[in-house]
Amino acid sequence: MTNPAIWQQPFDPEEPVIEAIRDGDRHAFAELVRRQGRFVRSVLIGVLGDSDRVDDVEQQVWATCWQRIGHLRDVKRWRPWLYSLARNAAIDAGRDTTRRRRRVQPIVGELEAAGSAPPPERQLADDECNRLVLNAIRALPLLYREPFVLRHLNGWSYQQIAETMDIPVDTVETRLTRARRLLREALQDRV
Amino acid sequence: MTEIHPDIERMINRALDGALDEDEQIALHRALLRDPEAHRLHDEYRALDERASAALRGALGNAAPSFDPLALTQPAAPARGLRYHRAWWLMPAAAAALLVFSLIGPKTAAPPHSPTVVSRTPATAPDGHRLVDGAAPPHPRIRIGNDSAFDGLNAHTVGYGTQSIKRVTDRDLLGVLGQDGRVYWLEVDRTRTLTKPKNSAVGKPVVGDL
Repeated sequence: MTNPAIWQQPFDPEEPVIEAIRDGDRHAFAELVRRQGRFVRSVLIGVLGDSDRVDDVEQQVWATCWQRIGHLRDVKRWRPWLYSLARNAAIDAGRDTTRRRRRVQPIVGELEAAGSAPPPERQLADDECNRLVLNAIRALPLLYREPFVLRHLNGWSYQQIAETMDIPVDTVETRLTRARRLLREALQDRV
Repeated sequence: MTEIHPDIERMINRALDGALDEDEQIALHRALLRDPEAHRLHDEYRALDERASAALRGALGNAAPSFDPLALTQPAAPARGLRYHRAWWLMPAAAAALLVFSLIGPKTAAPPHSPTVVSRTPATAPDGHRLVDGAAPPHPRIRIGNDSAFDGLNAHTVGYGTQSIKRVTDRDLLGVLGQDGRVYWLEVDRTRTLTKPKNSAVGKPVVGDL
């Protein structure tokens, strides 16, 4: 979980890494991928609504990041810039998925198809619960799902989410409140 | 479900998001103690957050990249394929062919339905001199027309004189096929001044203004 205190400090430890990447340092780029991979994946899950294509899209995002790092004018705003790259890539991938009309296989079905021994009942119950919750999150409007996923995967504050998404802090709070209300209505008596 | 006061719900959400200061936390705690429905809502939201975080972490999987980041920094290989290989020289070749065709013009490309180049010169008299009746325009001019327009031109291009000749005008007609498919007729008048030496009947023609 990202320490909110780090963000509030005047020095961002990623800025030297970004500068090195702009100078063509490939190993600095690999370091950034290692450090911020979770952040990029959380954005992708938030936009896509599921994790089926996260690996492929993440690779596209980082490839684009390497190619266009020179377009980043203000190094201090590298996070919103990277967020926009990831978001746009996820939106494009989502359009492709809609055209192909893919179906999401249930977790339990995949386990049985793999030929492994059936999991214990508790595991099945947890898997089913996770599936229900993920389906409910996927059903959220994108407007609410994005900040909700950023909050719960990265533990970010309102301020951090607002700076990344480039929206007001009050808007972040409103959208998170609305997301919780919708999830509660969708999962009433089911989880 | 009993409606919770919006301010209480807002405080609950801010508490779960870590956005309450110490005084606000105390105020919320008192409100939850007074209102069992608000307390239930707080517990539901907290359980929902825990479930959502666990589900999303499971979906996130191993945050380590499934690819080699250094491989992404390698320059892309040039595009291959017969289609690309063929395409790159077709366009310049087509442009070059078009340029050559435009320079060569109608001499090499003749539509079957109309003449491309027509050159007419006035008839030559048996003694070798060309005869003309009347004055001809001293300057070349371009006329636009089709084949029928050319027929009209025949009527006044050449005539025969009978007496002594001082000025001889030749008129050439050139038909040029334009890019718009029409035939452009070019009339070129060449005026020669015939000089008569002192002791000879006729003189050598001399090219005039043109």
